[in-house]
Amino acid sequence: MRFGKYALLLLAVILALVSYGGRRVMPPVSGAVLASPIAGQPALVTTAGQGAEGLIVARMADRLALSYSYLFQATTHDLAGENSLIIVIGASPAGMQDISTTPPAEERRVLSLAQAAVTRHIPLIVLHLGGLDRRGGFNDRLIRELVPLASYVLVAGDGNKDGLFTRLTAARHIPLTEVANLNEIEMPLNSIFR
Amino acid sequence: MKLRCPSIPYSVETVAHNLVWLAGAAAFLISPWLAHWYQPLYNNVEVLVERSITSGDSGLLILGAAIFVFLRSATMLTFFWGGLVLGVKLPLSGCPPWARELLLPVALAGAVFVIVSRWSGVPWNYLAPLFALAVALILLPDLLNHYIILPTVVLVQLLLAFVWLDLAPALSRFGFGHGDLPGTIEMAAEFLHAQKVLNLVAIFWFAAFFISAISVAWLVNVSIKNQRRQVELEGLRAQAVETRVEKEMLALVHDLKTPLMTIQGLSSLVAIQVRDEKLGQYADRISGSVDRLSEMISEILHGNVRNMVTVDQLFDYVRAHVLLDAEDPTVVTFTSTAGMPGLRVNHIRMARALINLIENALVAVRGREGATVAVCAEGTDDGRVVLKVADNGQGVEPDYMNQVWEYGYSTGSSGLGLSFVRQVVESNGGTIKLISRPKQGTTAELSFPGGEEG
Repeated sequence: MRFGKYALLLLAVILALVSYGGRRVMPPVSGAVLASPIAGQPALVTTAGQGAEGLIVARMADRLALSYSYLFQATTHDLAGENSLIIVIGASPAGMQDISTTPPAEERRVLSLAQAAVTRHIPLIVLHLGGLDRRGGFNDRLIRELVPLASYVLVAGDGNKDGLFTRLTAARHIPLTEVANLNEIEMPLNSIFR
Repeated sequence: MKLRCPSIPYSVETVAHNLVWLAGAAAFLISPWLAHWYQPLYNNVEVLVERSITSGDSGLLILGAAIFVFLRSATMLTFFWGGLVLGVKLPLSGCPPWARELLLPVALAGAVFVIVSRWSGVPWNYLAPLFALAVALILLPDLLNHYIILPTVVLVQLLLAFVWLDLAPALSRFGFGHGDLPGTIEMAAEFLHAQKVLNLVAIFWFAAFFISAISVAWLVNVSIKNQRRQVELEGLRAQAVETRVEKEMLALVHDLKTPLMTIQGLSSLVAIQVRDEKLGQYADRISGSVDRLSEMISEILHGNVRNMVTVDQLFDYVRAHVLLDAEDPTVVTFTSTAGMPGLRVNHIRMARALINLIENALVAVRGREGATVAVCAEGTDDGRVVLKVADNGQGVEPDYMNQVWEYGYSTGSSGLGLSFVRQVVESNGGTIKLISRPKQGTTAELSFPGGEEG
């Protein structure tokens, strides 16, 4: 009992050390920017899963002086007049609860939006910025559905640690750019339009 | 026997104990509902994070982080507290302390943690709560045995400390800071280039709450030790008073010898001079009684004086001195096997020790249905005599088994604790063993070498 009460603390320390070994941030696989622009402005920016990263991309678009509109619940009607569609994948239960939506409803919205963009030959840019925290479950379902429809995929952090994005893009020859951290996506994002 | 601090009335202590573990159970049971109730409040954090991204104000991000820490700590507090309190206070007879105080809280808190985090949509990161629970298990069980509010304060501080660690981006590689909102906050901090600020704030608050928790726990521990010393001091004072009273009593007993000698001399003279046969027998009986009284006085005056006594004689003497209240329904039985060897003991002190054990047993069975105290004697194959005092009372908690022999612990009966009993038994060449099961009863076994007379 005297030493037994330290067992859980020891376990926690071991788990932290194991985590340190297993959660290293992946070095960028390809940090290159696109050789030539693939999409035009204005762009419609929305989020798939209501994570805050949609707003981050919108703020980056501000910094890059891109012409865009950010609608967190954009629908196919909002595609009118837009020359590109940026979907930022990041499922946040708190975010979805905040706007009283559900994962199935969110999935239907973004999928119909992406399919409408493909039908209208509007380039679809898929971004994933949340790393491993935004992987698994609903996030992976969105990734598997949206990435095959994309014209370009941008991944920040260790979100592609298991190679899911690589497999999905390689099969359809979709250009993929990985960057080490979130703020490094500005350059490849800019290269989409300029 | 339920041993306790003599200054705390038995019923008050029991009621308070039961109320605490009932409160623990209530807190534990309502914790999933509370967590569900807190869930919409997390939207405020989401809103603040989004406003910080939009405005570029990292202050709003820190405010959101603080609200997150408060909400997450409040959510976990109820089931962590409930689990810890149940582990310490739940009356589980026969359950070893490590299972009760370690495994039970971990199992209970872990189960609710998984349930409420699943409800939230994304499993919560487990590492920070695991650290908080691990440190709580080191610090709190001892404190919860004595206090409720102060250990709760310590637990709150530990939760606040470790949930803050969950928001330090620098620790994400160690497994901290994953999950929906912590991940969102760290992502926003990265975008706002506020990671250093968030690290600094998280580490600062972790250190502040952690140091405060350790300090409070240490102070409470010191206070508990002081209280124990106070009890020991009171015990020593009582022992000193007892010794003084004993000395005065011995002086008085010693003075009895003078008139006894006079009675003895005069009764011998009467026996010689009377012709009446009946009066002669009376004089002999007076002389015999005075001899026995004189022996008893010698045993009182000199603890090392030992005489042969049969078990029945010893039991008769003890039975005559056990006083039961008229309304006490307890059944006290004395049984002995015929033909057992006698005992060479100081039977006055031995009887006092047995009376003390019986009085302890009477306290232990008080208020229980079918309360029984059985005093019996058995002979063993190797010629020893085993005296047993068994009750079906409260029993002694395993944690206290080593403390019952210490001076200062008593059942509140005679005030002479088991230390006195053991001293008497051992000084008469015997051994004593206490066998107890909580809620089932206690048996004291006194074993002596048998004497030559039966």
